Amino acid sequence: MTCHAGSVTDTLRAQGIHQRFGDRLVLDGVDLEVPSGRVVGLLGPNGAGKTTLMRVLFGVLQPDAGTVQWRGRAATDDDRRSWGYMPQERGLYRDMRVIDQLTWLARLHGLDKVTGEARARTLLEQLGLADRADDKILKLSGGMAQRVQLAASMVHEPDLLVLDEPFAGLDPVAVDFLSNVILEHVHAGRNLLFSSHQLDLVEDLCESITLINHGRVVLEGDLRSLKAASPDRVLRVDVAVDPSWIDQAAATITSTDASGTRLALSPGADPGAVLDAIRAQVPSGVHDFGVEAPSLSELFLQAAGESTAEAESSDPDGAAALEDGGKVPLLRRLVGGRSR
Amino acid sequence: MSGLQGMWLVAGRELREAFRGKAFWIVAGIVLLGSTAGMVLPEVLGDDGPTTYDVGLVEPSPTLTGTLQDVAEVVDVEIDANELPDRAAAERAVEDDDIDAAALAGEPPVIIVRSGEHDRLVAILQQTLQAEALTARLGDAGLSPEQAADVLATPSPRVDEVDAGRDDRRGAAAITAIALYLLLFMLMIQVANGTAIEKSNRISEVLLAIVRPGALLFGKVLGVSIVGILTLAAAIVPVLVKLLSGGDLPDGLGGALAGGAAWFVLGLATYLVAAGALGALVERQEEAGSAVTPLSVLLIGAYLVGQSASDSPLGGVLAVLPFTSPLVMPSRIAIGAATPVEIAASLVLSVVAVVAVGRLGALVYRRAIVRTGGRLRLSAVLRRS
Repeated sequence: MTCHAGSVTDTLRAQGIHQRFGDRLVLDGVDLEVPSGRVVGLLGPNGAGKTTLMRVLFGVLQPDAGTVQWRGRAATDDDRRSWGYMPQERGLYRDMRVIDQLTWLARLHGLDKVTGEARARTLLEQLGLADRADDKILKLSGGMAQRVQLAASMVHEPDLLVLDEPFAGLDPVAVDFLSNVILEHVHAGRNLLFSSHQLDLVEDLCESITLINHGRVVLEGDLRSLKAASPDRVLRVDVAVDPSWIDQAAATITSTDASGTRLALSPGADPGAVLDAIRAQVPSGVHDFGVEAPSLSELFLQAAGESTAEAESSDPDGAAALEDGGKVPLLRRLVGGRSR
Repeated sequence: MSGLQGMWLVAGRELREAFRGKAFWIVAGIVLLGSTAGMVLPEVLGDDGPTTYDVGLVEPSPTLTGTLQDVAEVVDVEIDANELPDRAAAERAVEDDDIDAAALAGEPPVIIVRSGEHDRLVAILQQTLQAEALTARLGDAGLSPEQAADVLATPSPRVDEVDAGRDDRRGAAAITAIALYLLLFMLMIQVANGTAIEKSNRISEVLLAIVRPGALLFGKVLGVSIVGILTLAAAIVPVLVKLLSGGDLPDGLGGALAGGAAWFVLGLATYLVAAGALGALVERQEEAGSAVTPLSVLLIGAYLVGQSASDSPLGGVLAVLPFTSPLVMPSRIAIGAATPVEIAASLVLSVVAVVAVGRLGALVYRRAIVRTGGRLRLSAVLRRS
């Protein structure tokens, strides 16, 4: 189901990850693929298990079951040291100078001191922090500290960059800035995974997604393909459409009024072909049209709802029923504050 | 990059940040000053030479000054005697503190001294004046001065002190023990604090993605230990300077320092690794102090036994056991109570403890450092398979 730009030789792959904390099952057989050259979003509400999965990827947590592979073989400590990780909760020594901190982290990643410091200064220049290199972190604003944190994860030019909730708490300018950093990284042919619970915010950025809820993957794949496969797409045209003009297998009319017609597109149907069929019947032409695809949030709610129904039907006593799996609490958690 | 390199980098950061901060230099400065004072003050204020008293003599007999010097020599005191014209001049000189005391020969002889002062000098003067009076009476009774001197030359008892250096050695052990105790305590809190800060600020999460937990814990312990040893070195510099310049150390200090250094290093390793592991259990920096309470209690208990009862049977046991031996064994060595078997057993057990605590500490640290959301119980962390 997943659409992959890269091959197995440049892909991060996690398979069958199980993680339990005491009685709580946090990850329940999660699979994840992060091919190179694509922006991959690990999405889901607060408490879904995103951070835990990222910690497993980096070996910070040893999973109860499952494997993490990098470029076709089991990921090693050396592989992980070449990756870059920005945790959800910012982790920097507050009383350490910016340049010292970045250089030290670069050395931990295996760079020598001179190269590390040069890389750190270049990054600070790019991030607009060159004049703050000698300041302690505690003297920086929250936004600046965030950029230093990003620099810390990129100072060794990692092949794989993993960002946990990088957009949480950012203003629109900072969101735009970070989005560009992410796109630059993948356009250079590298791997990138980021997590977010703010689905609407990151919808335009994601190329591939893995949606998780209560530790299970509920939807994953290429975002365009997922949307095209949705039964909830609508084609809107500003003319009255006769049912005989169109292939009923591709679309069905749901409403017609003075402003035009709304057609429900079948999963996988090409809206261009339906539009062409309509235009062929209207000599004056179609002047206004559009395709309304479900948003990421709507796709998630639908997938999570199905997942909940499945869980309940397979467990009539409700022993394994997902708590607050209904749409209203989910929505609240999807648009809510920072995840824990 | 190996785990060892990661550990060195972590330790290097601790060192650099310590040298950059003011706290290290202030503490090292205080230690250096204190140690210098400890070496220099006894030279300046010390009573190594004989005490000198200024004494005024009014109408002394021809032999009085000689007798006074003889008595003073026996008790290792120097007397600077000057003649004064009369009693009034003597009283004035004593009141004005020009002299320590005055002696008036006569019947009866009189000693003038400020109230409550110079007991020793008063005793010397009393003995001198009595001897003079006795000599005069023996002369009156018909004995020649030589015969009188023979009569008076009865041998006075000599005091032989056994184990004369014992007090010095106890003092040296006490100084060494309190320095090691304070430093261990300070460094232990520093490690626990550092770990708790890294956990609460989530720096540990960034670092654990790059280096192994063991390298992180041992690197921190190594860095903090080196900072501590450098602080201790500030105390040793004046001692070495005094030694090299030909000075004498207080009896027992050399042994106490040498023994102290070995057990200090072993004690550092055990206490600091344990403190790092316990620091990883807490959620906030403020809780770090209470997390290491069991270690603090152990440290204080060992220190007290080391100070008050290191030569007791309890001291003998604690000098061998890990955790307590770093505080008790150096004292026991300094006072000469430790047997070679005890010393060997203590060293072997300390090394075994360092390895065991290192393994257990790394396990607790690895499990606890990523578990956030509240203070963890050690038993719960250990139980988790």
